[in-house]
Amino acid sequence: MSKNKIYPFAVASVRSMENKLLSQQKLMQMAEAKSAEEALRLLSDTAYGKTQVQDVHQFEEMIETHLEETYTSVAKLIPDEALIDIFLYKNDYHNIKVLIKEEISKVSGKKLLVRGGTIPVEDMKKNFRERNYAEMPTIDGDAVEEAISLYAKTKNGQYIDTVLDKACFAAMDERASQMKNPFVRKYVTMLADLTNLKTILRVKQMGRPFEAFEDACVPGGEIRMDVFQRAYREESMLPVLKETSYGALCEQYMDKGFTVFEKACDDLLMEYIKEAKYKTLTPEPVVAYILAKETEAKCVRIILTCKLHNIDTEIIKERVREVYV
Amino acid sequence: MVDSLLNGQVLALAGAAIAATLGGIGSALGVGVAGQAAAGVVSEDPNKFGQVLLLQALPGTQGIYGLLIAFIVMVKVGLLGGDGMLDLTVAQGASIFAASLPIGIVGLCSAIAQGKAAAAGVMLVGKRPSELAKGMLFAAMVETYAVLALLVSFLMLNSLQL
Repeated sequence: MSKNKIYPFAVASVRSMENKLLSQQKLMQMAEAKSAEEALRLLSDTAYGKTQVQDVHQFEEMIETHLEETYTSVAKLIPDEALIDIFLYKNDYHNIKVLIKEEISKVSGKKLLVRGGTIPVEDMKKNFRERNYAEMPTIDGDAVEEAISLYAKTKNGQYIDTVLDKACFAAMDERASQMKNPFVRKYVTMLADLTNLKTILRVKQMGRPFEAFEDACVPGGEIRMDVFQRAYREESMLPVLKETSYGALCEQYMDKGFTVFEKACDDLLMEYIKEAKYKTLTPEPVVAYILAKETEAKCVRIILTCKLHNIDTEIIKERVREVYV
Repeated sequence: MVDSLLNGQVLALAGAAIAATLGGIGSALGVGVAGQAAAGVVSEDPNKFGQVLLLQALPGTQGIYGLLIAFIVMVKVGLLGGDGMLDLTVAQGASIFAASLPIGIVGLCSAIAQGKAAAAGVMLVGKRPSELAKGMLFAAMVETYAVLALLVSFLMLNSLQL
C-alpha cells in the first residue's frame, strides 16, 4: 500500500462536479451562436448562470464569480490547502501588477483586479499602499520594489510585468518543490517551460535581441538557458528545441504562427492533466478540476470576446482549447 | 506459564479470534474508504444516496465471513454447546489455528482492495449514474478471492476430526 494520503471524499465530489463542466460541444454551440447575446444566453443556461448579467460586456463578472466559487468549493474539499494555493498565486501577482500600474499611472485599475487570489483584493490594496509586505505572504516584496524602481529608471511598463512574472513563477516553483505530489510539480515545470518557449518564439519573431528573452524568461522550467541561447543563435530554432522534451510540440506547431502555437501549448497541458482521469483516491483529479475550470473559463472568454468583435465562427472554433471532459 | 498458554484450546481460540478480527478490520477499512467517496458524491447530488450505499456495503462481507469461521470454530470446540470446551491436543489446536488463517489474512487484504474498487465505483456512479451495475461488478470481482479463502477455511475445519 502506498503511503500517500488518500482523499476519497474530495475526489468523489470533484467527479460529480465534472458533470457540470462545459463540453466541447457546448462551447462549439456558443461559437456558432449568431450573436454575442445568444452566446451569453447559452452560457446562462449552464453553471455560470448563477450570476445573471444584463449587458454582454459584463460577461467577465460571470466568469470571475464562477471561478471564485470553484476555488472556494475545491479549497474546502482538501484541507491541505497548499494544493490549491499554487493556482491562486497568479491571481495575486496579477492584482499586484494592476495596483503598481495604478499607482504609477494614476488611472483606476479597479476593473482589472480579479478575485480569487490567496489575498483578498481589499487587503492587498491596503497593504500595498502601506508597503506592508509582511501581510502579503505570497507576494515577494523585493520583486515589487525592484519593479517599481526599474520603472522609475526606464519608464517602461513592461519591466513591471517581467519582474513580477518571474517572481510569480519562482513562488510557484518554491511551493511546488515543497509538495510531495509529483503531479503538481510536473505541471508547474511544464507551465514554466511552455511560457519560456512562447517567449523565445515571440522574441525571435519580433527580431529582438536575446537579452529581451533573458529579461522575460521565468524560472522553474527544465529547459536550461544555454539551450534557449543555442536555439536563438540558429537560423531556425527547431533543430535545437527538438532535443527538448517538447520536441514534438515545437516540430508540429512552432512555424504555424503564434496563436496556433499558443493553443497547442494549452492543449499539451490539458493532455497532461487528463492523466488524472484515471486516478481515484489521490488528489490529482482535484487539481485537474481546477485547471479544467480555468481552461474552460479561458475558452468562454475567447468565444465571447471574439463574438463581441464579430470574428468569424471558424476562426473562433480554431481557437477554442481542448477541454477536460 | 508459557507452557500452560500453549495448549490446544488457546490455539483454537486464537484461530477464531484471527478470523473474526482480521476480517473485521479489513471490512471496516474498506467500507470506510468507500463511505468517504460515497459522501463526496452525495454532497453534490443527494439523490444518489441509494445507489452509492449499495456500493459502500460491498467490502463489508469479509467481516461476515470472518465471523462465520469464528462461529464454526467455536461450535467445533464445544464452546457454544453448553457442555464446556473440549480438551484439545496442541496438534488439534494448531490445526484449527491454521484453518482460520486463510479467511483472516485474505479477508483483511481483499476488503481493503475492495474498498478502493468500491470507491472508484462510487465515483463512476457520481459521473454516470446509469452505470451502477458495472461499478458493482468491478468491486464484486474482488469478492471472489474472499469467497475462495472462506471456502478453504471452511473445508479445512469441516474435515478436521477432533
